[in-house]
Amino acid sequence: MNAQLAIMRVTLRRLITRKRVIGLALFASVPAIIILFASTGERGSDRLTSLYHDTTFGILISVALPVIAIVNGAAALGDERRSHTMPFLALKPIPRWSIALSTTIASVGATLTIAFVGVGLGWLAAGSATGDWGVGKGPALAALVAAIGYGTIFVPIGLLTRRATVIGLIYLFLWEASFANAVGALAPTSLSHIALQAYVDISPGISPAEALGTLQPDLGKALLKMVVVAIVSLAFTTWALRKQDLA
Amino acid sequence: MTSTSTSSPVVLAGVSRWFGQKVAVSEISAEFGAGVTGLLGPNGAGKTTLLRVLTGLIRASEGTVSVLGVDPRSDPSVYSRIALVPEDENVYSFLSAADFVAHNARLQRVADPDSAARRALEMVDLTDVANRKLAGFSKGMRQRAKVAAALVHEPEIVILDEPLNGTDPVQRAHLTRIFVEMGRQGRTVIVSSHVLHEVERMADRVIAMVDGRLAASGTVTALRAAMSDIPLQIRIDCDKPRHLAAALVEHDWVGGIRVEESSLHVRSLDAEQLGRALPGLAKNLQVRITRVDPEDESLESVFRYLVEGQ
Repeated sequence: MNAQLAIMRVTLRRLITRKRVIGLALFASVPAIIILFASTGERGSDRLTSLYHDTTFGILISVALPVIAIVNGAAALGDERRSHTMPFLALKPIPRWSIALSTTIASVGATLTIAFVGVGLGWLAAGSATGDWGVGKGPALAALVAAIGYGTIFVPIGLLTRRATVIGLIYLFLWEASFANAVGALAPTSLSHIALQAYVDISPGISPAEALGTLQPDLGKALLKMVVVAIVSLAFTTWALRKQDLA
Repeated sequence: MTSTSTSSPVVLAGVSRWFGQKVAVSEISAEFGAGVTGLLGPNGAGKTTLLRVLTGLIRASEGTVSVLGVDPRSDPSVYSRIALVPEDENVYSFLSAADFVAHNARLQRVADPDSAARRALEMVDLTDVANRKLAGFSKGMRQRAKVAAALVHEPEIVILDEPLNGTDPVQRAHLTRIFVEMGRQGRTVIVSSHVLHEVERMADRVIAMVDGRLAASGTVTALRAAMSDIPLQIRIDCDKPRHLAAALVEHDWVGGIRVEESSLHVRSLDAEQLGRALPGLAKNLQVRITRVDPEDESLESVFRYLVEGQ
């Protein structure tokens, strides 16, 4: 195992703790639970499918996944600094960009792992209720796109400040959920709206599409934007590891 | 520090570090060569900050750091030749000791990390508990695991921040032997401590710090000698304090005396002389002495004296 894999493995083990996984996975599974309850009534499969997409995007992709990413991203390097274990990571002959990349991949990986519990359970619930097993493609790809963006931007913030989680939640609820929703022109600045671009491209005609604002459904563009966000975040993390105090 | 050679592996030139208004380290210039050097000072003296600056963990506000010819902050490759045992007892508690040390070996790109980890754990006597989670380790055991993790790649420069904290006397002796041996092998070993006799057992040279400043530097013997010149306030409990005070005041190594009902407080300019003279005086004057205690012989007061005396 090389140094990068060793960093990823230890960061993942630190992020994926039992309590954290259970709590966040339960949060991510709320849409699945709603679908399960809804499927016991006499709803048609179209209404169930619509409810599935509404709750999956509205709860899982727009709220649960960002919260999971904020928690993981803020902890990826932030916990190393605050728990005083940073010397075991930073005082090693490893380029700073490599440390940034390894911990960021671990953050995205931990976010996806937990989010996919919700995506998987929702897909099972919706698939079994409607008989359409293809409904899960949009949520799965949107989760991947969202995890790349959200999972990377909070890593440098977590390294630089103790208040990364608070900053993340303010960004999420004030900017994304309020301003970007209310003003269509601000949609391109919202990661959840970019994720919705991917979602609607795979699952056209769903009601959350109305929230796209000035954006057009396009998986490729959404992925490209998130990769750019990830590269900028990585550069920022590398800069912080080089220039900031690490203890 | 003591050497003026420019080939010293660790060189600090005018290093200062402040946090807002607080100056943690002030204009420290020192060189650390082969062998064990003790970094001595009371808690809060700036030792940990200095070691963090030295390893590149934090920036120097002013001055330059050179470790093996480079600034570690700008060239992380130098970390393959140095190691730090941090003061904080936190480790990756979810890992076993073997995994923790092997992880450090992998990050150091050691060829066979598991074998290197086994050797390092054997050196610190943790082989029996190698597969136990660090979460269940005592402070002393964690300390030894950190030492093993630091030494797993056989570094040329070893920096130890209060490495004996939390260890029992047996572990203390064992770790001290390891550090002394590394010094004998020609490695540069820097050990910080706030306990003089701890440093004395392993270090050839000492740098003393107080309030972020360099208070003294030199051999342990020289520092001891400097400390023996320090005036000490000594309390003597006895049944006839006035008699004893009258006899003591005649000596030129007594700087002043304050007498109380059953004790006297002597300001001695030479504690060793006082110690030698007291039994004879007590016998001659038939004074029963029940207690003799230095009142200010904390390391901090000694260091403060050294700083102010410069």
